[in-house]
Amino acid sequence: MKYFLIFSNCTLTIGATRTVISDLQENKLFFIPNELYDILIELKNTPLIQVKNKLDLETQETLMEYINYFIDEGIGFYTSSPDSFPDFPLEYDTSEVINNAIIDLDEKSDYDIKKVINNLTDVQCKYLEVRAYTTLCLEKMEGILEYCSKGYFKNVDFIAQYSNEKNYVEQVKTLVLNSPLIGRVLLHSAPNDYEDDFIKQTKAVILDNTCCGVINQGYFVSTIAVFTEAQNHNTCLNKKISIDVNGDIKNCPSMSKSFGNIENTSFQQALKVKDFKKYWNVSKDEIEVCKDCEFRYICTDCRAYKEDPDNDFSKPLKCGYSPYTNEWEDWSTNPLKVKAIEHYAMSYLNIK
Amino acid sequence: MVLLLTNSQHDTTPESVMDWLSYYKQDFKRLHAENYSNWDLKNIKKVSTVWFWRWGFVKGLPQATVVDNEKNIITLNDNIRDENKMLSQYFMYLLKSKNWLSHPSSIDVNKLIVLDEAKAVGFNIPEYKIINSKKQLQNFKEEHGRVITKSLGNTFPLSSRECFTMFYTKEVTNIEAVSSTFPSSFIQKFIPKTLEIRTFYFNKEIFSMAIMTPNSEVDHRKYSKDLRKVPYQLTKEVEDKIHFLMETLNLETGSLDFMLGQDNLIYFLEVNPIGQFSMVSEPCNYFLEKKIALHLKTLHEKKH
Ligand code: SF4
Repeated sequence: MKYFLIFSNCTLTIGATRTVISDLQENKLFFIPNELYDILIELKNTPLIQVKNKLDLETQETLMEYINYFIDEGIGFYTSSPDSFPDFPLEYDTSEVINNAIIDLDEKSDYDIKKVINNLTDVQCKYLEVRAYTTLCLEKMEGILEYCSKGYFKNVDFIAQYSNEKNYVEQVKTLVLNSPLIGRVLLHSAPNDYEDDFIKQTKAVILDNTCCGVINQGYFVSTIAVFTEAQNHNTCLNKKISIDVNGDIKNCPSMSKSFGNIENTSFQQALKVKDFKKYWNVSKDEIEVCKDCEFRYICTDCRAYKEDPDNDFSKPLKCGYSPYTNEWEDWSTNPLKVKAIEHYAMSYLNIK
Repeated sequence: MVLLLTNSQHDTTPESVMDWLSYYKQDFKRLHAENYSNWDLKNIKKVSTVWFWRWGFVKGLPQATVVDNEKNIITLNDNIRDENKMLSQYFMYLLKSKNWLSHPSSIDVNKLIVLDEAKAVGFNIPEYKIINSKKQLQNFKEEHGRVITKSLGNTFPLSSRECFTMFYTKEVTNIEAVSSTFPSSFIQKFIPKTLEIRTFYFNKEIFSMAIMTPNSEVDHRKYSKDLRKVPYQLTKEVEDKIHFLMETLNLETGSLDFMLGQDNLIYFLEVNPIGQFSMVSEPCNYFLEKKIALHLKTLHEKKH
């Protein structure tokens, strides 16, 4: 008997009005109608011919068109032994207490960065993002990388204000070239937009952390790591720790709750505080609107800026997508969001 | 303490096991052929458990002025390798009372013996023969059609400034170009396949992955990307044979290669006692590195 299967690492997520197939191997998405979702599920253990026979002629034809398309795209195949192809295992785990961290800096920040990085090493942190709302001199970047090299870090990203200082950009590029740890450097407030293999420059001005939390298609990631984490965890805050510009320990710099200051609290202590992990297990399945969205297991999240600031389970404010209409709108001009935007005092929106 | 005997390179398999060991707060040390001689042997008494996963060999010749011709370079190289082998052997001997996963003496498998044992267990194996003349090769090819050749031992790539050659499994196509006699070679019937299967065996558990074969009718551009890799479930019958074979070969762990022929039969190809299992673990989300780390932790705790 001939069966048709979608490869198990191309997962189906049904949304309010359509289904997305996320190819977790190739990081690619395919959209299909929800009616097809049910048929594909049935095809997992029913021979194609049997499934076909139950459909009217026109639907049969459409089904065959889709099947040929899936085979062409390399996301489906025929087999005579469907039992040999089990569902993809969705277990999630990582070998660290804290996976990623954000360190915020402005011109007034005077907390001890070395202490922060030592604390991150105690919790086996692997990914770090340093965000400077001011310029970051080369020595400081080198210092951070030097501390990080003694830990478990696999990648360190920098965001900093563009500097006019002679040779600054060239020196940063050399640093990126020579440091195995640096992933990406973004210089904001630059005179022009520019991008090469080493750095990215943007004219955008990044004044403070209210810039964070934007959700758009460019941020979707269709990988095993994200998809499995999203099943039961928050894709932004799970295993994350942050230091804001004042040295306060937080889930993310944009959130108001502090779990102590790095000057007198260790990460190990902060992690023990009740509520530190409160959002770690808030998955998209529990968030309003997102729970109906076909992107829910490949999307990032934001619990700092929400449509309803008082509701822990409200949709991210900076997402303009509606899973009911499948349309993207500019969230910042949406009249329904004005109140929340004012609530969070998003100064940078007025600049543009 | 857990001692990791691995190769010297950056390698995701041992590094990921180390990450898990740190997560479980285990004391460990990684050593390899090139750095173990700097390690203080006094530390041996702290070791409870040893994970042996490759070892490497000491590379490079010292600048020796006595070497004035190519033959001497080869002889000297062999001598140095032999010296190092003795030292490594002695080092392993010093550790012999520890818990091992797995002791290097048990992992030296001979591909031909393995094939005999696999046949005895009841696996399908593509016809093969050891051949050293063009005549025999022609006869074998006449009987079986397309044939392949592969190495029986561990091969090291040849590299020079101009080229880099690895000893892959290769189809033998141009028989005319073959000399009338040649060093004995392993020649095997080519079986058209539907997919390849990579299996990792560990702690009596079996984890398999299918690597799909590109459909030749399909546009080639599509396959510039990676071949599709998905979890695969072998039948109980095949899995039982695997348990049996690994017990016969006295292997606690190892990677096995199979293929599913277009005739719908599963063929056994080979066993590698220290396979690169991350290439199965990552695409299939099997967490094999975590399982190894937990096993090492258990072994360590048993000793104390
Ligand atoms: S609705 Fe939710 S899941 Fe969908 S794109 Fe927006 S934030 Fe992501």
